[in-house]
Amino acid sequence: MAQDSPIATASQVSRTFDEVQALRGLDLAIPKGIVGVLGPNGAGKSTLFRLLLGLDQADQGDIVVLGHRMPDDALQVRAKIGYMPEDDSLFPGLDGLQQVVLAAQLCGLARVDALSRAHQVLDLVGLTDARYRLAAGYSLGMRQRLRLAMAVVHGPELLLLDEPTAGLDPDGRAQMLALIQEIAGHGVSILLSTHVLSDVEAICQYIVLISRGQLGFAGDMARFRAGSNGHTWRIGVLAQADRLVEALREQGIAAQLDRSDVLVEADVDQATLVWQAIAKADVAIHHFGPLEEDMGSAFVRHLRLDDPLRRQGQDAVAAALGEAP
Amino acid sequence: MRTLPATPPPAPIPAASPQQPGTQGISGGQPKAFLRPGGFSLYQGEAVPQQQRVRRLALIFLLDHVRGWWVRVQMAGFLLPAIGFAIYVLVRANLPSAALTVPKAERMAHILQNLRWSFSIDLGFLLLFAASRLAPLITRDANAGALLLYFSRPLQRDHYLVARLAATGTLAFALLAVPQTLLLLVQMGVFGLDIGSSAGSALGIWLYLLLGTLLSSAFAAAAVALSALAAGVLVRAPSTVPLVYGGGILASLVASWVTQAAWGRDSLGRALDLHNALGGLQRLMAESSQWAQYPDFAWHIDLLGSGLWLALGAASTAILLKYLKNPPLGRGRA
Repeated sequence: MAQDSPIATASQVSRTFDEVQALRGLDLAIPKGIVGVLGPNGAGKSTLFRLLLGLDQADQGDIVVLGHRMPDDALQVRAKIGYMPEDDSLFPGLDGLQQVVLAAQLCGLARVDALSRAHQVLDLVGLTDARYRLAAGYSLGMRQRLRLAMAVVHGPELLLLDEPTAGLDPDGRAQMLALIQEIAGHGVSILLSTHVLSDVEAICQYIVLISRGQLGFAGDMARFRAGSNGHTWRIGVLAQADRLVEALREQGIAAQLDRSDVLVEADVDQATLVWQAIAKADVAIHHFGPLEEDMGSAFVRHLRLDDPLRRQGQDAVAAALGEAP
Repeated sequence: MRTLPATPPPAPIPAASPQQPGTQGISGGQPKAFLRPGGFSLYQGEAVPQQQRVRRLALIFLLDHVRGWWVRVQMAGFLLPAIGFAIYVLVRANLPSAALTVPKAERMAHILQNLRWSFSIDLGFLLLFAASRLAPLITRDANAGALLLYFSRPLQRDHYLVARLAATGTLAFALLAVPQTLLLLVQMGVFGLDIGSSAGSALGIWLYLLLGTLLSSAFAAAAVALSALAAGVLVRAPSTVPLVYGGGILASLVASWVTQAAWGRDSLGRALDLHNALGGLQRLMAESSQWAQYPDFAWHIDLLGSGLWLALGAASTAILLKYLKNPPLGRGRA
C-alpha cells in the first residue's frame, strides 16, 4: 500500500566488501506501512538495513531516510528509528528491564521516562513476569520479544526488523506478528526482512525483493502474486469445467483444468473471446480474475526473472524437455 | 501447448494461543495474539542532550563494573596493603620503647616508603584486576552483539569509547586513590605537624603528598584503563584477553630482569618493567620534594618509565580509535 511520500529512498546505491558486491546500483522507494523485504541469503538485505541506519556508507549513490541524508544525519535518523537486529544481540550482564531501560536512555529518554516506558513495552511484549531475570537466561522467543521491546521503547517512526520470527515456534511467531501489527497500527512504518514468506503474506502490504544486490521487485502484494506473465486468469466454474476448457481451446486460447477451476492464458484484449467461450460452453461461473500465485512460487519466479543465468538454465531445461521456453 | 502452473492452496496461518485470563486480544486481521492491557503507545517526551546521555552511559558502565559479590571482594582487597601499613604506622608510633619508634629525622622517609610500597602493591593488584576484569569489556560487548545495539542508536562511536574509558578510569582511580589517601590520613593523624621545620611547612608537605598521590593515581588509572581496553580489542575471544594483557605485563617484567642481569641493576632495563614504571609516576609526583635525596639515575629511570607509559597510552588511544572506525557489528563477530 504505497501512501504519501516514501519513508526511505535509495538511488543508484552500490556497496562492495572486498571482492563481493553486496549492492549494485539499487534504486528503491520504500512507502509507509508494513513493508516486507525479501531476498535469498546474501542478496543485500542486511547491507541495506545498515545503510539505512548509517552504520555503513555506500560506495556510491544516495540514501534518504525520513527526509535525512545518510550517513550525514545518522544521529538524527537513529533517534527516530528502532532496529531489531538479526543476531541474538543483547547487552551483556543485564536483566530484561535494564536492557530496555539502557536502550531507551541511549535514545535520549530521561531515566524516569526510560523506566516507565520500559515497564510499558515489557508489558506489551508479555515479559512482565520475567523483567527482573537476567536476559541471557531467556528462551529464544523471550529474547526476540525483548529485542522488539528494546527497538520500540523510544517510540520510533520507522522500525527495522531483521528476521524477527527466526527460530520461533508457530505460537511465538503468531504473537510476534500480532505485536508488529499492533505497533504498525499506531502509525509506525515497519521494514520487515524475513525468509518466512507466510509472515510477509500475513502482515505486509508492500513487498521489496532484492536479489544479487539489485531490486528484483517492488510493489503491493497483488502485483507480487499476479500470474507468471500477468496474463493468466482463473475462472471458477460451478460445473462442467471441461466443457469450458474445450470451448476456450476452440477459440485458440490456452486453457487447462485446475481442480474445479479453469486457468486461462489470455491478453486483456482477448477478454471478449473468453466471454464468448463461456457463453458457448453454457457454464455458470462464480469467479473470474487474475491468477494469484502462492508466495513461494511468486518469490521464485521474481528471482528467476531477475537472474539471467537462472532463467537461461530454466529455458535450457524446458528446451530439452521439448517445451517452448 | 504450454503447461499452466497449478496453484496449491495458500499456506495456513498459525493459530494463536488461547486467550489467558487477565489479558486481552487485539482487534484486526490474522494472526491474533493476546497482549497485556495497555498496548503500544508512542513516546511524546523530550530527549536529553547528548552529553547527558554519555554521562549516564558512563555511570551505567561503572555500576556494571561493581556488580557481583566476588568483584566487591576483589575491590576490598585493594584496601589491605593500606590497612596493613596503617597498622604498622600506628603500632610503631605507640610502642613503649622510644628506641623502636621512628625518629623525627626519619619520619619523612618513613611516610614516603609506606606510601610507595602501598601504592606499588595496589598497582600490582590493579594490573591483575585490569587484565581479568577491564580488558575484556569491549570484546565482550562485541561478542554479545552489544556494539551493534549501541551504534544503531543515536550514539557516536567516540562517545561509547569516552563512556567506557571514563567508567574504567574512574574505577581504577578509586581503587588506587582511596587506599593511599586513607594511609596518608592515618599517617597525618599519627605524625601531625611534627614533620617539618614549622607547622606551616608540615601542612604544605601533607597537602603536597595528598595532591601528588591523587595525581599519580589519576595518571596511573588512565594509563591502565587505556592500555587494558586497547589490549582487549587485539584479540577475538574475551577469554584470551587476560592472557594478552597479563602476558604483556609479565613479559615486560622478564625483559627487565634479563636486562638487569646482563647489564647490572642500574641499567635502563629497569624502566622496561611496566609495573615499576607506573610506580615511577608516583615517585615523580608524590616524592618530588625529596628528589635531592635520590640518586639521579633513579630519577631518570622513573622519568623514562613514565615516558614509556605515556607512549603506551597514546598507542592505546590510536588502537581503540582505529578499532571503533570499523567495529565488528553483530553477535560473535568480534
